[in-house]
Amino acid sequence: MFKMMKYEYRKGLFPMLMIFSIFGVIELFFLYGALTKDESKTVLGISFLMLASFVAYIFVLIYGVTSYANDLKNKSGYLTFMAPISTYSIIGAKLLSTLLTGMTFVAVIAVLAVIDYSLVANVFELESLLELLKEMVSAFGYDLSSILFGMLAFVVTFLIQFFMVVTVAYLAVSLASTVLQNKKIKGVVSFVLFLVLIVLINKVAVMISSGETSSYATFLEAMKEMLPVIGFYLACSVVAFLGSGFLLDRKISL
Amino acid sequence: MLKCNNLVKKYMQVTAVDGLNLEICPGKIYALLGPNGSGKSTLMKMIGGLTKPSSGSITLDGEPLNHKTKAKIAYMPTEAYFYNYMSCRDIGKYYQDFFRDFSYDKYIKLLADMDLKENLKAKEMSSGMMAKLKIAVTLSRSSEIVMLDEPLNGIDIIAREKIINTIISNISDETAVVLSSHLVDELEKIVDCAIFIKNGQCVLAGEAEELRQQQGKSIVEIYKEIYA
Repeated sequence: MFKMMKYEYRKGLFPMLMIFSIFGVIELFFLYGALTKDESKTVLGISFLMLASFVAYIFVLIYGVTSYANDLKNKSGYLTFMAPISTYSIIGAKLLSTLLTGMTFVAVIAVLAVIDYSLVANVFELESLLELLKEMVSAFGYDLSSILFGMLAFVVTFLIQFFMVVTVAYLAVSLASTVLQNKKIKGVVSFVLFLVLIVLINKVAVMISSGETSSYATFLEAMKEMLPVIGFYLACSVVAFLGSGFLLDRKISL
Repeated sequence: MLKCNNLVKKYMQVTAVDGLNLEICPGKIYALLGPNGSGKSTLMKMIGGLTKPSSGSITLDGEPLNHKTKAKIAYMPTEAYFYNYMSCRDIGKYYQDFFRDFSYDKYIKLLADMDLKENLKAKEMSSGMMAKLKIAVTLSRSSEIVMLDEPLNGIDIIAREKIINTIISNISDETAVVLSSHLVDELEKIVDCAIFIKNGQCVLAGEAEELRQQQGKSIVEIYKEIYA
């Protein structure tokens, strides 16, 4: 599986470099604004960086799913499916390389955020703003560290949810490929099926989550709050993974 | 030995392979013959593990086909099947990573014989170059079964003889080779057995020499009689 991951990661290298190049250009724009103490350029740079982060998320999601769908549709998929490894290993390699790509983006964005924040804090003397933020938060009866723990737990949940979304998309693609084989409408059916599944899963996730915003003393406490939803997302991922592997092994013809 | 038992493949209303029975024995070269749409490529894809039979079974040495048996079957599809980013070197490394019977040194030698550069990318290749590359990478494996689907497609008349010689000189006595081609006269000279496929069924099969004697005709003439 790890050998296959190497090739999956390599396939996505060029588009990933393109996205990083866009990040680089926006970062340069932001740095120019920050170093010349131009507030409007700096704010614009931050806004673009946030937008680029969202675009990167959508890109990884779409790329991860189309990589699988294209292998089922295009002849280049023969190379992947000719390899003497199980269908579960192939799907696992695709999922993990997508997750790895997503984590690479998260890591780069996190590092950029820390560096950029330090720079902005130095150049624009933001210490007073941070104090103001702390006071505002405590005025509402919260602690800033508690909010940060909550945010960190949210990031972990977000990554697991991302993994679930990709596996469910794989299941939708596999189901459509099984029933419709090489029909052109297969792509549209996969997408509709995916939307239906995601809406259903999210409805259940909302039902089982506490829905309350609590105060967290530690990160573990924050994670405990998210545990039912995380467990549910993981269960959905496992079912979708096993379902896709089964269909690919027994039913899908290239 | 590879066995196909009552093999059926249906695509919606179309039956590509229809109750086909077949045995492929080691040490022989088989010609899989039939016009377009007769079911040759579907049969090869099923043996290669890319397409699932609707019913029936395929066994290799008594074991039903699964992901492990793919390691014993070297299948060359008729289409170009490499990722665009891959160069000849990348393709060799890929095969080396997944197939224990793959010889990288043999592959490099075959590439040189076919005038293909190691750093040439798949997307930059002409159809003739691609055909040579597919043959080079497939013949660099020492598998029990070698299946080449239309190996002479895209190869000009001058290079065909060289390709055929390359195929013959790169297979061992333990290997069963299955070649499909429209160019029956090119295959007639080299095959031990012939399998004629019509409408997804095996209508005639046997040792080439026996068929010639029984029918009093060449393989080319038998082909014309069956399909004309």
